[in-house]
Amino acid sequence: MKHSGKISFFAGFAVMLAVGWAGFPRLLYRGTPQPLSFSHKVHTGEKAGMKCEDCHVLRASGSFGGVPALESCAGCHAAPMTGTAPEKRLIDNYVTPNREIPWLIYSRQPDNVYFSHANHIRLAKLACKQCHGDHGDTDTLRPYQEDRVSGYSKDIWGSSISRISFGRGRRDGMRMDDCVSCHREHKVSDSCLACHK
Amino acid sequence: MNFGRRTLLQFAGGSAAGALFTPIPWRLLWDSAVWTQNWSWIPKLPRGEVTEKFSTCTLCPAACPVKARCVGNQPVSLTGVAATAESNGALCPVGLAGHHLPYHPKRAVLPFRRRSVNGKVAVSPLSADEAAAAIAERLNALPAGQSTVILDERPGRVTSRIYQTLAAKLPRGEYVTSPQTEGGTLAKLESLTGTPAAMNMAGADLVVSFGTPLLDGWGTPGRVFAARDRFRLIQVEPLLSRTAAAADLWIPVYPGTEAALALGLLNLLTGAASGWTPEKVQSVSGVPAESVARIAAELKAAKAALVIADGDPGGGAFSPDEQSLFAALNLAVDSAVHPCGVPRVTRPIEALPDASIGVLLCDAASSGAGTPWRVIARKLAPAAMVVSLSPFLEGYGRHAELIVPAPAYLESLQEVPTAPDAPAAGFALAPPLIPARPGATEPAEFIARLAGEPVTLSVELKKHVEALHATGKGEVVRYAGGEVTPVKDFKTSDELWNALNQGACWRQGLPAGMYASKPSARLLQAAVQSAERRLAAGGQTDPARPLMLITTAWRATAGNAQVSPLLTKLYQESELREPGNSAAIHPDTSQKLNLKHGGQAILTTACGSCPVAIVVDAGVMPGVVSAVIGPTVDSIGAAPRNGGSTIGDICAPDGDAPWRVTSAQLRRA
Ligand code: SF4
Repeated sequence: MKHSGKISFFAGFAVMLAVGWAGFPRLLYRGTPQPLSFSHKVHTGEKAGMKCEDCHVLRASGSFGGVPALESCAGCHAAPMTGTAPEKRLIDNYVTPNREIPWLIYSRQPDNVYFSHANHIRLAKLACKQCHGDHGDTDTLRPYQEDRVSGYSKDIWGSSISRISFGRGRRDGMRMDDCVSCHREHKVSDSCLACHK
Repeated sequence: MNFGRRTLLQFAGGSAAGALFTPIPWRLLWDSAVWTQNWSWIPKLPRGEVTEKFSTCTLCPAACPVKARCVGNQPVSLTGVAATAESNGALCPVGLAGHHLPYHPKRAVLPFRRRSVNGKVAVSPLSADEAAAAIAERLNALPAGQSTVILDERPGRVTSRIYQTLAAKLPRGEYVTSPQTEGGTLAKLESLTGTPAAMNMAGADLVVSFGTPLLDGWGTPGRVFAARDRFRLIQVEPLLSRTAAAADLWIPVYPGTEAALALGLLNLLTGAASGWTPEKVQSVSGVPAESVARIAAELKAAKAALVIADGDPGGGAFSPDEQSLFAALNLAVDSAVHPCGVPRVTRPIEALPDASIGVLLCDAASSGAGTPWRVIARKLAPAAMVVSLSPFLEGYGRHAELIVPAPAYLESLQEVPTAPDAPAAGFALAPPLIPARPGATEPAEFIARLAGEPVTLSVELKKHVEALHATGKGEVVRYAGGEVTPVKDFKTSDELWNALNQGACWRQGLPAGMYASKPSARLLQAAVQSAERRLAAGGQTDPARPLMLITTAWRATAGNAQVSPLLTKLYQESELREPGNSAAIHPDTSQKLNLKHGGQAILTTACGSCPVAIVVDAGVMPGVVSAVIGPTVDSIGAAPRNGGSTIGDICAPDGDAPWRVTSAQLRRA
C-alpha cells in the first residue's frame, strides 16, 4: 500500500500520545488511602464553624503546628459525638489507645526546604487556598499519591501532568520554580538561602 | 497492508517521535534528578516535631546567643536571637552553619596515634586509656629543661582555671594562652593599670581601629552593628579591607608602622612622644601629616573614644610594645572604656623559651585567629609530643602525634566567657543539642586524668553558677523572649542553673564612672620607648625579599578552627571573598613584577615558598602583598591535604609579634 509507512508511523505516534498523556500519569503515581476518612467540609461548615487556623495553628513562637496532633481531635472526640463509622474508628484506633494518626501529608516538602507559614500567612497575607486549593472544603480525603520515582507527593508537581492549569486562581504545584515565580511576582527575596537554610 | 519488520520500525519511530510530545521524557528527567537526591544511603533528617532550642555559640570568643530550629531533636538551622542585646538577631556565617560541624569530613571519631616509621607516617587507633598511658609515659621521662604545656586558646573560662590548677600538677607544667586573642588592647590596658577593662561600644562616638576587622569578624557582630550608627569609624590599615571600605575614613599605612602613627597621635594629645611630629609620622608610615593632625583633633574632641588594635584574625597580634602605646592612647582621651569585667589571665605562648616544650596538650577551643603552626612549633623541643584534644583531625591535629577526640560544637555542655567587646563581664552556658559521639572526651577531664586529679566539667560549671548566685549580682537574660531577671530573684542556684541551661546569659551591670584617670608620665614614657624600640627593630627589610606580606583570614576559619564545607562552597562560588592562597597586589606592583590578575606566582619568604593565585587590587598599597590564610583547604575538610606549604605555613614568626609582617618575594610561576 502506498501510505502504509506513514500510517504505521502515525499509529505509533498516536499510541504513544495516548500512553504518555493517559497511561503514564496512572503508572507514575501510587495511591495510598489516608488512615482515616475526614471531612474538612463538616468541620469548616456552618455546623462546626471552625476555621483552618483552629486546628492548623501558628504557635506563639511563630512556628507552624502542621497537621494537628491527636490531642486536638481528642479535645472534641474523646467520646462519640456523631456516631459515624469514621468517628468510631478514630476513637477506637487512635484516641483510646492514644496513638497518633499517621496522616500522609499531601504538601510535604523535602527536608532541604525551609518554609515559614508565619511569613506567608502573617506577612504576605496569603490565604490557605492560594497554595492548598479547595482542600478545606472537601468532604473526603483523596488518596495520597506518591510519585514512584521521586517519592514526592503528587501535589508537589501539581494535579496536571502538563503543569498547565487554566483559570484556577491559584498555583497548581509546589515545586521550587512555583515558589520562585511567586516570589518574583511579589518582588520578595528569591535567594537560595531564603528557603534552603 | 503487510506487517513486517519495516512496519514495526516505522511504528517504533512514530512512537519515539510521539514520546517527545508527551510528558514521559521530561517528567522522568525531573523525577530521576530528584531520585538521585534521595538514595537510601544519603543521610536523612528524622521527621519529627519542629521545636526551638537555645544555646550559645562557642566557635569564637564572641559568644553569640543561638536559636536552633530542631526537627525531631536534630538542629537543622541556627539563627541569632533578636531579643538580646548580645546578638540582636545576628550570627556570623561561621555560626550560621555551626550545626554542620559535628559531621565535618575531618571529624575525629576515635583516638589515634600518628608515628613516623621508616620515614612514612603510620596511623594506629587506640583507646583513650592507651592514649593517656602513652602521654603519662612521656611525662615520666620528660628531659630536664623541657616542660608540659597546656595551650588554652580561650582564656577566661572556668576550664581555663581548671587548666591553671592542673598545670601545677603536671611535671614542669605550664599554662599558656594563644598568641592572639581578641581584646588584646584591653588586656594590655589592664596589665598597665591593674584594673580590668571593658569597652562600651554602644556609648562610643569615635572608634579608631588599627587593623581590626571591626565590621567583618570582630567582637559580637550583632552588638557591633547595633552600635555602628552611633560612632564614627576611622580604620587604619594597609589595605582597603571590608571594614576599611565601610569606615567613615580609611587611613592606609605601611605594614608594621602603625606604631609610628600612634606615637604621632600621642605626641599631639599629650606631648609625651616628642619628636614624633606629623611630618616624621608621614615619612615613616606614609600617613599624610594632615591626616595625623586630623585624627588627633577628632580624638581630642570625642566625648567617648575607643582605640582598638586587636589585629586581623589572620594577621597576627600587635606586639606587647605596640599594644602599650594603643592602651596609652585610650587613657589619653575621653574614653568609652569602663573599669569592669573580669581579670584576664593571659600568658601568650611567646613567653616560653624556644624549643622548651616536651609535651604540648592543645585544648579544642579556638581563639578565632589563624595562628600559623610555625608560631607554636618554634617553642617545641626536638621530638616533642603534641596532643590534640579536638573534635577534628585538622588544625593543630594535623601536627599532633596523638589525637584524642573531644565533643564537637553543640555536642556537650560548654561555657562561654565574657566576649571581647562586652561592656561588662558575662557568662553563658552552651547546652548540648545533640548527643556526643561515643569515644569523645572532654579535654579538661582528660588532662585531669593525666594530672591525677579527676574533674567533671559540668560539676565545675555548676559550682561556678552557684558562686554567681551567691554574689546576687548582675542579671540573667533569657534568649527566649529576652526577659531580664536580676540574679537575686533566683531563689536557688538550681533555678539559675536551669535558666542558663535553657538558653540564657548572665551579665554584670554596667558600672558607673569612667576608667582610670589620665595616664601617668611614667606610663606614657614607657609606652613611647617600647614602641620606638619595636619600630626600630621592624625597620629592616631584606633586599632579596622586598615586598611586605600581610595576611588576613575570616575569623574562626583557620588555625585550630574548622568551618562547614557547605558554607565555604557558597561563599567561594559567589566570590564574596578571595579564596585561600590568593595574593592581592597593587596594579603598580603587578606591572613591576609582570604579574597578571588570575595568574599563578610563587610567594617566597625566609620560611619557604608556596604557589599563589594573583589578584590585582588597587585597595592594597604598592609594595605590599595581602594574602588570605583562612579558610584553608584543611579547615573546610574539602581537598586532599595540600602536600606543600600554605601561606600560613610560610609566615615568619617574629619575636613577640607573632607574624604580622613578613618580608617576601613574588615571581611568576
Ligand atoms: S561571631 Fe563567633 S560566636 Fe558569633 S556566630 Fe560567629 S563564630 Fe559564633
